[in-house]
Amino acid sequence: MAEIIAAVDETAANILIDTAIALIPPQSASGSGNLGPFVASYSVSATLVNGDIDLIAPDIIRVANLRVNWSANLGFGIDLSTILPDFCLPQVCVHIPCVGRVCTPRICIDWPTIGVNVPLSDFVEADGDFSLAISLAGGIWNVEGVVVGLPSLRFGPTTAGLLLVIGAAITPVLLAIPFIGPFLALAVDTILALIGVAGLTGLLGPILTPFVSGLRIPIYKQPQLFEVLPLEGPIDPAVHVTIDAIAASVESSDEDELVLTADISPA
Amino acid sequence: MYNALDSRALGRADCYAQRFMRPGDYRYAIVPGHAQAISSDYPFVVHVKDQAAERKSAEMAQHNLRVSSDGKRFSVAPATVTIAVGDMVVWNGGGDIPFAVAGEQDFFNSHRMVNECGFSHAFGMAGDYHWRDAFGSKLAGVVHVRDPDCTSDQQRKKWRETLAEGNLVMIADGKVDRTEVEIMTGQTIFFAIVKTPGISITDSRLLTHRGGAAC
Repeated sequence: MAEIIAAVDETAANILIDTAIALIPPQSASGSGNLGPFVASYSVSATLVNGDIDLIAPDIIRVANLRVNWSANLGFGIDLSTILPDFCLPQVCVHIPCVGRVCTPRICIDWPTIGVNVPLSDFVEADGDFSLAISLAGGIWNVEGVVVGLPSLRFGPTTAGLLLVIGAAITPVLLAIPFIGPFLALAVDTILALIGVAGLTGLLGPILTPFVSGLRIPIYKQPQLFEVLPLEGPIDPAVHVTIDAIAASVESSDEDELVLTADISPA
Repeated sequence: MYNALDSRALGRADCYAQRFMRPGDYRYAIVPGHAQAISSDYPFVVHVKDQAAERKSAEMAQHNLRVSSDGKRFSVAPATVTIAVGDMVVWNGGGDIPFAVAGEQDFFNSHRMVNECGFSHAFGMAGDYHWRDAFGSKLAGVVHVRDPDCTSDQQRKKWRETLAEGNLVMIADGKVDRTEVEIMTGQTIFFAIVKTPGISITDSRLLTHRGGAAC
């Protein structure tokens, strides 16, 4: 039988893991991906906020509604000639007194490629099952929750609002383009339709998923050799014990508990 | 796309027109806008023949020349054009870099337009364009450009039709016949210069000082 047993119920486990998750520093990533038909570069940072803990025997900590707060900078180019109709100024003629009729040639406008930078921020949620992993490394016992499988992210209703943010970012860029005024609404609508919520989540999903799929939650950390009684005097030395083994599990009786057990021996 | 209102630097939606009233060869260069002063090579030619007797109509003929750029230098097609006395040549084109037509003779220069010439500009953005002469004369005016309501296809079609309507501003003897013009986005104004000491049509916002432009 183990010499030390520690147990926490779900309420306490919530507090414990809440603290552990809060201590995980913000994570960041950058790269490029497809934003609808456009190629976007991105830099994104994310922080985790704990969800609701459910302890499931024999060794699963389920975190429901684990929240990932993220902010990203997207940069992408749009070749306007692919989304706007060809536009040509027609021949314009004037009659100059004593000279005659003068006409300008038909002039076609080449729509340019525009670059757009959009700062976005929002959150996604995921449900994650974490198994308990115990390791001894460098004289330190670590008990961690390691995510099992690939949690799927849930984009909230606010994601659709991000399209409006993109539209607001595109509009001033478009307004700087000569002759686009009468086509402005058409251009913005077309770009947003091409991206769509699916395009946005298609880009953000794979970017944000690794923040959760590789997640390890530190639950307990303890030096293998530790002092149980301090030095009291020259003839009363400190007392140390060695933790020989640690086990962690979820036990279910009248309530679910996260249980840590340890075997110790004199140092 | 360059679309500033400045006859000294011609953009894609601008034209420079020049009439030639005497026979002869008129050599010229196409240079980046504002760089006419350093042009020393004049590879293009307007060959003006005295064909007045042969011509049946008294009406002048117009010859359109297309300016293009490979990103390093400009070219004109055709490089040599033969016209009759009294005909008008119109240059248009370019690329991302605005250009100027710089002739050997003083009267023949889009940078500083003297007589029997013109400058057209299609206004690409709504706004009030207060223009004046960068060379310091009192010539000035304002063009009010407003965006059309193009929420429906019918409105868009109507707007497109208005783009073909010409607007003429005559400049002669130190005066402008229309100092205020109201148009819609995309419409063109043709500034016809009959006789001046040498002027430009330049958006006031591009002029950082109140004095005249050099050269």
